[in-house]
Amino acid sequence: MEETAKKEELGELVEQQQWWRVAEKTRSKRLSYLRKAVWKKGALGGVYTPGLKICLELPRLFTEAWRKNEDVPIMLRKARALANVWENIPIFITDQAQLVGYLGSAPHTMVWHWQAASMINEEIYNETGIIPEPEKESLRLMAELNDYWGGKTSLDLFTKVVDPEDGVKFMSGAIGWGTPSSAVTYATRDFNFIFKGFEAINDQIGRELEKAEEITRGTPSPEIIPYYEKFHKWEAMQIVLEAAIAYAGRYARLARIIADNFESDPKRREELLRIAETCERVPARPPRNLQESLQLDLFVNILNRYEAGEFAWPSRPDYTHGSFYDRDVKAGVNKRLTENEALDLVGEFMIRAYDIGMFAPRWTREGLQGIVGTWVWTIGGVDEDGNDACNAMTVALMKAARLVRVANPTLSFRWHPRVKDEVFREVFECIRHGLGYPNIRNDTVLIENGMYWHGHPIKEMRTWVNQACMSPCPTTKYGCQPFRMASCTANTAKMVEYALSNGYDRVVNMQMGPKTGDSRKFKDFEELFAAWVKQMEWIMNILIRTVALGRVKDPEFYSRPMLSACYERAVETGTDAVDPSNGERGNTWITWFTWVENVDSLAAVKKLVFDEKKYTMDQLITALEANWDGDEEMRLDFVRNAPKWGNDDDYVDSIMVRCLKEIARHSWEIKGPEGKPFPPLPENVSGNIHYANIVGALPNGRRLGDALYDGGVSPGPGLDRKGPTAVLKSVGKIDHITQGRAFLLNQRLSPIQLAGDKGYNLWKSYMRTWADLGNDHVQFNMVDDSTLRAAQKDPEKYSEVIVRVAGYSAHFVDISRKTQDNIIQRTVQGLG
Amino acid sequence: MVRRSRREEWNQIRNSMTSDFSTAKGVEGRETVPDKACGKCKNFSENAYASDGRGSCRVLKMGSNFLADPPIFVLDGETGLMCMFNMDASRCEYYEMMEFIDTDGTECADPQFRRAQRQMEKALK
Repeated sequence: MEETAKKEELGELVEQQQWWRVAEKTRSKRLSYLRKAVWKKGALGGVYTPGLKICLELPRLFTEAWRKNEDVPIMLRKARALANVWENIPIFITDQAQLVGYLGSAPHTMVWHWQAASMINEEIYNETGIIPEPEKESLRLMAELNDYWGGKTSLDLFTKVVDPEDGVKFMSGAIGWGTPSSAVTYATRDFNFIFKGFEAINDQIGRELEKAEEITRGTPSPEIIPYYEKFHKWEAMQIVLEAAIAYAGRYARLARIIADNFESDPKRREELLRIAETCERVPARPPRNLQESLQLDLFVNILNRYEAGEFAWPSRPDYTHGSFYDRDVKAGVNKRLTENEALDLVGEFMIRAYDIGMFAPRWTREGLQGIVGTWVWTIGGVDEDGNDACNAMTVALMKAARLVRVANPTLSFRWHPRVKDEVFREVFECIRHGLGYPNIRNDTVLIENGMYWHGHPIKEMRTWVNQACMSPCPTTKYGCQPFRMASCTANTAKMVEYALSNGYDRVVNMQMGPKTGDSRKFKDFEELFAAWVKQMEWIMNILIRTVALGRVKDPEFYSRPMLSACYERAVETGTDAVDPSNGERGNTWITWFTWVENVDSLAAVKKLVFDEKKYTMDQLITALEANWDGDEEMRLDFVRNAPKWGNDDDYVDSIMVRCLKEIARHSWEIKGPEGKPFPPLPENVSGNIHYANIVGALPNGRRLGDALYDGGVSPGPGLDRKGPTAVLKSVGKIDHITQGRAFLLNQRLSPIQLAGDKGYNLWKSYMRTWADLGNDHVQFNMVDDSTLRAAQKDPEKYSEVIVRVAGYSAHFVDISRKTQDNIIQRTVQGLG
Repeated sequence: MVRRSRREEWNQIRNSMTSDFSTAKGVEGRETVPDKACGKCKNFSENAYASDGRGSCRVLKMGSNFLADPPIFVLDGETGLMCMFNMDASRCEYYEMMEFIDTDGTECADPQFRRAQRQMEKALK
């Protein structure tokens, strides 16, 4: 009877599409406990959850060892400081956990690296609510830390060497987003190398050291000189590898202590002993089963985040862990787990990732609302030989995602023409359950894209993962990318703003861009376009100069011994992983925020001023300078009667393509430290909200303060009026291989229309059109307006409703009201 | 004729933006917000990149120094004066006190009006 009642209740919830309630009722008790127990580490709007505190143990232990090693080279100094942290930071094992390892000294803490930037250290000091109790004592310690690190942090050192004009303009916050340092970064990983185990890597370093010693004691020549710098780097790598093994050993010991002395439940005791066995095995030696492989993955990610602010999580978990999943779950001598037990492990792995907390400066929080970083895990795709790589773990990840409903990690599905229907159906079910992910990537297009821009060989490019939200990056020895080169993220709406304002920025009160002429005197569209091209080139140049210098200086100013120990080419060459001279092929791009405003604005001026001559440039510039005050009718004319992107209208679509061709041309003229170009990657995260008050009034009709469009090549909210196929056709006019790195497209679909098999078939047909047009990306929101409005009224009842914001998902109740409204405004597309 | 290089001029601006990095302040130096502090003035615009309390003045330009005796006010130029939220502006002739409203400011990301610092809450109570 009880069973029947439960089934009926579940049936009702499914019919009402309350997927978050369905998940609560169907997931295991363990997953429910772990899911509910976790602290929200992503900022709510722009501020942190009450009760969340900054961890002061990490900077205290790190600085203590750092100060004792004043006279050693930076990588060795850093390694000793990290070892001190891992030996001494408090550790704990939460109830129900099967995976261990934590970033911070307590569940309610998040970390920051005081070595990174004085500006951010001071921001933490000034921040409301996150200072641990007792506040007075914490402020004293923080003041001491800030006084010590002032002038010595990675970014402080960088500001002394960067061109001063570039530095000032970059730090204005008007044109770009990012920190040219491993302080705020991400790094791809080659798990083929890491899964050898840290002891094997240590042995390899030992052999390199022996070779190097022979060389430096041999016949003198210029060739032996570089080796003198390598010894301390190898030593640093060995220190962190041994310290990492010992850190895992602490968990093993703790698990045994709890099992032997404090745990009365025999089942839980067994689990604790298994945790101990797992931590005694990894990361020291290769994993043998799913728990060990997931644990190794988690340790590597946590340890690297003790070292640096890795704000993305490039990963291909079905490829990395799939063989262990198969071995453990499939019938046979090695079977260890039922499917449900494996799902518990996979779900917990996602929750552990969600649990990771790092302090983010305010501009990051405003641009990445609701999450800590973009943990976009890549699944599906093809293997090195081009065969379908989907496996049972691919499906398990999607099932687990629907159960745990975390906003981070999200999944990114590499679609290719041979994907099995049952796997694609799982993708659809995740979207239909309102997760906002997986996003869908066109595998064929992106493999070719990586070969075109960066010369990756096809077999290497087939291993690609999303480096952060969108950019494909191989996971091979020379393909792995260790640094956020996209710290040259551009606020591109400034390009058209400066083209109209002769390069002057009225928001930050500074002559920012080049003086490209008084736009009131422009006689035709070509003059405006020429000014726009100059502003575009200027913004690209200044941002890339900054990040390129930051990259080259990073080994000297920041240093990454742990990452270096995980990079085969760094181990072989005795260099910092971030050093671009150790054979990296390069995987650079420039993230392109607030993009479509350029196209819509240029189209509006062309139509209403130069073609129809309805207004003069003088009238337009006067209105823009006044933020459209007193010119509402004119502003609405520019909103309604100028053609808008996303409607399969060649008038404006041809401007998009023309702009992208100019950008691509200039991308090839630029060379990063590894000699590679910087193609644009239009996407936004929630930069459209962060920049709302920084971008001035524009000819597309927006005012200063209005939210910008939601991202990538998505049409402006409500401005796509010709249906979903028209949007795809507009986007399809772009060459997704030669005109950029990738192009983000948000679409909102109706959950009612897409119910059941009929809905799946409609969606598949839409996806066929998407693929046929050569588009590289699409992602969906499938939550109706009434649910979102209800969530605004009663957030506590809708805490697990997820929306796709841009290159990431977030819990709807965790984003600011302005962002919520912006998502509700997105057009709901009807298919069929 | 005195020749000034581009780098020299921008060095000055950069130094005024970052000179406080190396200054030891202790708790008192950080907690003190003068009665007439830049952060309470209408003309202070918080930096959009750093939320550690630095910003620029919309009236005074680079070259101004209201801490000097007598104070120096430069009103022409291409770059606003760099200042900190808790700088003592008691000698500034262009000071205009903001009217504060009771909000935690989470919906307000406008650098012109945003005052994100914990110390400002205490200073305004």
